[in-house]
Amino acid sequence: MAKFQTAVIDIGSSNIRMKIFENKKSKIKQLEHIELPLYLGHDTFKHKEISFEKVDRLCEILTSYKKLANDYGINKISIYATTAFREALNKDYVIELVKLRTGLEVIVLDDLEEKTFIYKEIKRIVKGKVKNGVIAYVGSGSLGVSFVEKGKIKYSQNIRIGSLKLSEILEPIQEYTKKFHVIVEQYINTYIDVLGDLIKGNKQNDFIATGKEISLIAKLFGENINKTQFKISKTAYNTLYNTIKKLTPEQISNSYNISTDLAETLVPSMAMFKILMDFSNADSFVGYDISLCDFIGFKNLHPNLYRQLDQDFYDDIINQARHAALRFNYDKPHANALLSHSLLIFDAIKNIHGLNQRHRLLLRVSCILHDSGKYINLNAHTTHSFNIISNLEIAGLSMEELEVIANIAKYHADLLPDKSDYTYAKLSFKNKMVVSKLSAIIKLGDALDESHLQKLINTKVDFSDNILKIYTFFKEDITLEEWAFNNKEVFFNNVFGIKTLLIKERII
Amino acid sequence: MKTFAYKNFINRELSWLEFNLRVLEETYDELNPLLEKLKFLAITASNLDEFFMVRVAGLKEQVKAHFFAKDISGLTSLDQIKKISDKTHFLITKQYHVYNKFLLPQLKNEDINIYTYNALVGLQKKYIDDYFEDIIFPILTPLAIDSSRPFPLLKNKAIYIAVSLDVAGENKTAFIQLPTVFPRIIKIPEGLNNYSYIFAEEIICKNLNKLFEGNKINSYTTFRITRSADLLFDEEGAEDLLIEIEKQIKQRKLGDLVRLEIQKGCSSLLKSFLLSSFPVKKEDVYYCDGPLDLSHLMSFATSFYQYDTLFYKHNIPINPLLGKDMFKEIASKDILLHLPYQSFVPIIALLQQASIDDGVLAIKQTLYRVSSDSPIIKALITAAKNDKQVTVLVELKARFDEENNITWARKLEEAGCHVIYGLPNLKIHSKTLLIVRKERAGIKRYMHFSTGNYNDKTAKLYTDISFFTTRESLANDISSFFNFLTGYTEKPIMKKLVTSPTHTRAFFEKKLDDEISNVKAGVKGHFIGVMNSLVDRKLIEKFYEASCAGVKIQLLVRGVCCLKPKVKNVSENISVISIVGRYLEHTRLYYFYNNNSPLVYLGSADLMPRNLDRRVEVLFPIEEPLLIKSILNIINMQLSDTTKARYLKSDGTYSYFKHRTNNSQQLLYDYYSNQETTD
Repeated sequence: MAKFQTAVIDIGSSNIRMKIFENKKSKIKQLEHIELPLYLGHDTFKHKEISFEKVDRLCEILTSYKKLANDYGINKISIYATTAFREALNKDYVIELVKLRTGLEVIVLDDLEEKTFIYKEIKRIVKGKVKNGVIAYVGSGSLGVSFVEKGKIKYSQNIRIGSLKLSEILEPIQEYTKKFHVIVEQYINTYIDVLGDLIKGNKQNDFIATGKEISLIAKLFGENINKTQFKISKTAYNTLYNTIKKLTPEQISNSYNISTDLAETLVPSMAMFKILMDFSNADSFVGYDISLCDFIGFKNLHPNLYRQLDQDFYDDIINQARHAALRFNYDKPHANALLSHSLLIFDAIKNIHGLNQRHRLLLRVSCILHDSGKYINLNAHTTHSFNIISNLEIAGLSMEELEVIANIAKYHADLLPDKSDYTYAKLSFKNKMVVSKLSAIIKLGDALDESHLQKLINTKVDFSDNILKIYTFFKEDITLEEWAFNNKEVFFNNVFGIKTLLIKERII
Repeated sequence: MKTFAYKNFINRELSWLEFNLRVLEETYDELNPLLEKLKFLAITASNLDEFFMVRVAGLKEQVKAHFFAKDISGLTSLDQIKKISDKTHFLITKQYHVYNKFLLPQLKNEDINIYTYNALVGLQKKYIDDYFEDIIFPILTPLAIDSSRPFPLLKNKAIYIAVSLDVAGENKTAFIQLPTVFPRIIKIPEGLNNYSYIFAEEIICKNLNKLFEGNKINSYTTFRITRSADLLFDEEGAEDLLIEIEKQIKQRKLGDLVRLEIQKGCSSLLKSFLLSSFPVKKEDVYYCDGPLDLSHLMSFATSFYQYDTLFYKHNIPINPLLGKDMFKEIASKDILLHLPYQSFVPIIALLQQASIDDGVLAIKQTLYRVSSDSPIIKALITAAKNDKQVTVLVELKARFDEENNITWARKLEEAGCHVIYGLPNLKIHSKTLLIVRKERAGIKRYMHFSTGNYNDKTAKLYTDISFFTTRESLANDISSFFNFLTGYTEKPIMKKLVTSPTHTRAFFEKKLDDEISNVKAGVKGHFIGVMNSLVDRKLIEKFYEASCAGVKIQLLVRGVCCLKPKVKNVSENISVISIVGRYLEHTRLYYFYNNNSPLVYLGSADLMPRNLDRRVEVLFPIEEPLLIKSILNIINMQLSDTTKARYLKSDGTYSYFKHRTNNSQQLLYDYYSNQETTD
């Protein structure tokens, strides 16, 4: 049964926020929203570690939040932490200390997971209204940008510069220059100038902005802070930015009646939005005041709707994978053939592999990206594929899942998963099994298009009496495919404990 | 924003003295029963004590610090002290005039006789002499004053007798503190159930020879000193506010001297001794033509509870929610209660019900002044014992109530309540209650807001408006507000509530600007404000600006009002009335015409800088059209008061209306009692 109330805590780089939601007549009602500043980012971004003073304060805050959650009879709280925690060298100790002192378990989201939540939340709110556009998320510790085409995310990139991080990094320069904003803009550009090339020729009609400073920007424009969404013209945005960028944080604080801490991160944040907005052809800035808490709240209270949203996001993941593969000149017909063969096999033996729809998605991505290493060098291309994939960013997939995909790609050809292989050895047992099973499938699928010539006109699969029968219909000779199949079925048979049979039928 | 010259404002302290004069007027008012008049006289005296301890003390501090900035009306602290002294001298003369010439004779007519010692005869005298020997004498401790010992530390507001003695040919002085262990006014039995009375100091003075046997008594007098009592301390440095306040209370008797009262007829020898002994200026010395400290008349008057006809007719508060399920009632509709015409009991009932209700998860409340044996506190303790999460924001700094506050705050803590002691530099003045209840359909939040404190005793004397609701938008705001107070969040997010110290001022400016714009656009502009005090210069200037633009402004300011109404080209459209009567007008209510969609806000904030900028206050909107209508009805009844209302003139003084026909307080009681059930 779905929960009625849920409490979610977001440990950010500059504040700790808790929201309490209730599921009322299938609608989510926010009962509480509390926020206290705690600049964990100051510690992590400057000293690489979270100080003990901050841990003490964090525990104090979490204890008081726990008390408020208890006011609503909530005992289990979802606690998520982002960049400041993620990048702290002592994060494991801090998690343990927090657990011992407060009884609360902090989940540290990886960069991809964090942004995925944000993009999903945006998708949930805009309900498919964004066809072509740029979505920019500026957090305290990191920046996420994604390009949407025909309603699907095409490319996404996380950059480790957030508003607070940037103001921390550039703080020493600030005192020596009157044109701090120029430095901020140039610094941001060093990170993101390549993005322009990636989206050349695409129409980006919308610009969607979200992140920590959004509510503040809304306030500066006199927008109703209680609305989730607001829209302002690009000209108006730039006019305000041009005014603010020349002011010191103290001047901003006085002129706009906001705290100096907020004022400090405002210029970097507005600069990032400005630069990203310039990538698009959008004539307006659409701000969405959304938060991780809102999304987790939705996830906890509406698990079924969340599942639906998650599955809807599969298309975005595939779309991103295809665009990434395109960048590495992938052999699209081969990838499609592989995809089709692999999925046939996956679906046919679903009762024995014990894998789920999410694994099916990983298989799909693996098929699309498996040969990307050939872009680097044809020799040892599977190792190059591994390196490329494990360094990609695909919104919707976690780092852990990308690691799994990279391993599947690595073992799609001749290599076999082996515990003496470091990349395989470091996987969890569960993931080792996933890699072995999916690479066994992809190996068979790959064999069926060994020549990359898509000789099989039709393929049917039947699984009965512990035998997987693969019926192939072809016009041209498929001896190469048959040979490859015979070579690779051994591993498949070992992994699944079933026999395979290739049944050939030549057609005219 | 336009600014206005000093001459357009009334000094705050002088306006307060005007208020105390209006209270004093009640002692002359033949519409009031005799013992009520006596009570009013006592109130003027205790009011004056507090005024000296806080306000005059503050001005003297300023002088000491060489701070000579001008006030709203252009007066320096020195100017103000001088003018206060003049006006207070006038007030005190009036107090003793009414006491001697009106009240004593009227009491005599009712067979309540307060005698002087010399007027006692036969058995009366014997009884009193015996009383002195047996009860008073053993506890008297005369303090000899001479250069060989340090000058004694005299207690704030205590009454002393100074005695000039001839000791072996040498003139000496001694002080005797009037003990407080027996009544100030002592009963003399006169047969069965019949008494007459005498002041305790009168007995002592006439028996001084027994105290100073063998020495000649040259002369004697009573005197009383008042010390500064303002609680000034560094809250930032105070590790534990509770301990700090306890310390302050102990120190209170050591404050600077701000007033010396001496009984009229004091010998010149003693007078010059007293004046030379205390660091007072001529203007700080008041000669009283009668017993010092008339505040004692309060307990004296109330001791005649059996004399029904000499008090106001008993108005039993109406309880429209008697015996009802409070949760059910509040969930079905917004409810207003107008105290003291209507009862405070539903508020207690709600808390009592919540304390034992299975669905209630949490109770949060701000407490400012509560009664010493408060049913509210008891209900909160029960709730905590029943495993409800009880959070109480206690304001220890409620002036002169700190001792009481500390006692019950400790009791709450012991019961397991989460007690939070105020915020540094911000007094929590709001009166709010939130009950979180888990119901079948989910969480429901029940709220109570009020213009008055959670005090069952004052709820019978102060006029206040109470509001119960379960409106979601207010629930979110009040949760946020409590989270701010408990330190769970730094940025309370408010949609409907208007809160100090951050938003109230801007809210008034904005809403008054809207009225101004409406008038400029050819629509009616109208503001009505009901409050205790109007002091804030910027808002007064905003009222002037609105008045000049043509906005009609009607103000009901019970106490201090620094705004000058009816001044040409400044405040022609502003009228101010003050109602001083049986009940203390305590409501804060603000109405904006708002282009015919009225906005009504109630709350804890007066329009004083402290309420706008330095206190935690809450103004809450009334949105239910029927309730807005009944509030407008209340305001209209008050605005048409001609009996207890006085109107403020542009010279800063007040006058009664010519034909005193409507007494709004009585009319309101009649109005409610015609509607519903009583307690």
